[in-house]
Amino acid sequence: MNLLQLSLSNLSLSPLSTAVNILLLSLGTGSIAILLIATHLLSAALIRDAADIDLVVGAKGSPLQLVLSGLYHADIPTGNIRLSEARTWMEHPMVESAIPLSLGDSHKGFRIVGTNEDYVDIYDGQLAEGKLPSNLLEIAIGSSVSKATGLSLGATFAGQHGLDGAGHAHDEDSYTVVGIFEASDTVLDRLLITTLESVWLVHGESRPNSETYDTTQTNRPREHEDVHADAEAEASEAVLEDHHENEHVKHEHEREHQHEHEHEHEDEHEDELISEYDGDRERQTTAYAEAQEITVLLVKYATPIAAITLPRKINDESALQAASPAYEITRLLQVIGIGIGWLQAFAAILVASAVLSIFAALYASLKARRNDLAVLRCLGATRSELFMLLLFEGVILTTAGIVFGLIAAHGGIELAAIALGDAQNFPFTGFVWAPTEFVLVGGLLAAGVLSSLIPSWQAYSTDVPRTLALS
Amino acid sequence: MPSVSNIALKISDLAFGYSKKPLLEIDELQIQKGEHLAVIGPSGCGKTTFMHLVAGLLRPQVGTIEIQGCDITRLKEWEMDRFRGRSIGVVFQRLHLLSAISVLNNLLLAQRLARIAPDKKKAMRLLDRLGIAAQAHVLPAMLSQGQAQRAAIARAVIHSPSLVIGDEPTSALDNSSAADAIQLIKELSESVGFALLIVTHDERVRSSMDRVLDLESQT
Repeated sequence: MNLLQLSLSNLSLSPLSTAVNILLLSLGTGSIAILLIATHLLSAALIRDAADIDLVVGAKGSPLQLVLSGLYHADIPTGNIRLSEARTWMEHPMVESAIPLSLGDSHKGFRIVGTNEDYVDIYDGQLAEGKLPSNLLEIAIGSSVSKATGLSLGATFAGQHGLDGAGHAHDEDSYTVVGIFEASDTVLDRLLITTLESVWLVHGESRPNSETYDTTQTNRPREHEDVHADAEAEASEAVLEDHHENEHVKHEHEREHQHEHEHEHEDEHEDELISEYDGDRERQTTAYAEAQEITVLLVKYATPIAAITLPRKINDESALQAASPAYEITRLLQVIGIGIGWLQAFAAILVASAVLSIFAALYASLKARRNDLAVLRCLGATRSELFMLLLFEGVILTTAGIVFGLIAAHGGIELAAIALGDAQNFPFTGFVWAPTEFVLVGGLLAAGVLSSLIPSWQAYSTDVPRTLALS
Repeated sequence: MPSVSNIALKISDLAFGYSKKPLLEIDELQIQKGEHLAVIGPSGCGKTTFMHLVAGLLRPQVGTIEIQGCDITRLKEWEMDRFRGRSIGVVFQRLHLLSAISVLNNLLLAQRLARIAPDKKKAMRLLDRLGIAAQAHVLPAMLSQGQAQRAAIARAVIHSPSLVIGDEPTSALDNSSAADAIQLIKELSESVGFALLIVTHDERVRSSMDRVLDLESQT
């Protein structure tokens, strides 16, 4: 039996009062902890999913909506933009990289994103099975999508227009799952990734007629061989039609040349013609893509100065809208923060009530135990030990309130996460510790100690002879 | 002349008062180990004050109080608390067992506050000797008055003090229980070897002590 055990025994003497005090403090602690954890998880998810993207470019509308839809896939897009129009900015010297996304469809609530491999790279996406989509109507799915929908390699499905599952199904163009990503704890887990051309095809844009098509519609410089290979292997029907016309023109041209330079360097001239023919095909292939629409462009700056000039330039000089994720998310968190602030204030009142209740309980028990304290002094306890005895009681009540509050908060969040499963825009878990929780625990312990100080001091100051004489 | 090592309590030239007029004056008092002294006197003569002075809960204006050769008037307050825990046992008028812990834990806590290792076997043996071993694990509120008095006596002697002070320890007991309690405490005094100083109005107690100190005659 020591003083700590004696403190515990004293608290157990009035179980109802002790339980009520702990419950009150648990409620306050749990409420604040839930807000802190939620804020932490949301901020972490927003930062993680932003993937260092500096600018989101899309159709005019709400900049926040543009960022939420284009970067976090948590809102409907503001509209589509011409790839040709976006190309101007993709090739801007202040842009290091720009990734086009074509949105609009979903499967069982998970968004289908037409893009290229660069998009997967910004989230360090790794394939658990299969390969990345390279042919039309091939699709790779995130880990959460795989778990929630049960789709596996080789499975086929039709996308639905919109995100709510109420849109019409594109039954005529079914996707085939060719890859499944490993879990990355990013938005990639909840997406279905296909090529831009597949999205264009599904939406009935003028379709290329070949098996494969160039999916690297970024501003990355392309090798001539790649372009040539693409032109060879991926010519569309439209391109082929154009090609016949071109061949005709080319033959006309050839005849003219033959007529005019019949005797001059026939081999050399033939090479020039082939080169010109290849160039035409490349231009026509590009022209097909440029005529298509995308939804957003995810831009990384080449230089910090771009942050000052590029958004304004895009907004002023084009029909497009540029939104900075950092700015918009800060604004969003500020708006959310106001609500969170009110909730925290309410929870703080709960905590303050609990701390006052602890003070009242200790003070009341002190009055009832004055004789016990005097007897303890007679048994050899020092004044400091009496001080510690009361302080222990306050700290035990506070610690129990904190522990139960934190267990309730973390457990509640984990249960909610399990209940909601993978169908969340921002996945969360209770098995996380927000750094601000350290501040909460420290603050509450300090409050608990403070609430115990007056009763502890009174215990310290117990006048033993007088107390014994009055007993 | 008794040897110094046999003196449990020695008081010299003691004076104490709450105002300029001394309430209590004792020129010389010695109690040997194992000796039993009853302190008597009318209400207001300073019996309880005398007990508090000997227990080190009050400090005299002048004079010395030596327990086992240690002048407790020279000890700092925390030193006195430790000394009291180690060398003095106290039995109160209203018993004052700590209500939140069991009888056994009351004894173990007294050992701990005496800065000796808690000895559960010794505590159980003592409770057995006092006839309340069966009540070792119950809270004091569950005890009868007589059982509570025995438990209080056990707590006062569990750490083998050199002096046990009783403040009207039998005033709340019936004749039979009072006689039992005094008999028990005297037996323990003989076996443990502590000196016994009992402040009392009770003629039954007074008559069973070795000596009587009448405070009225001292002032």
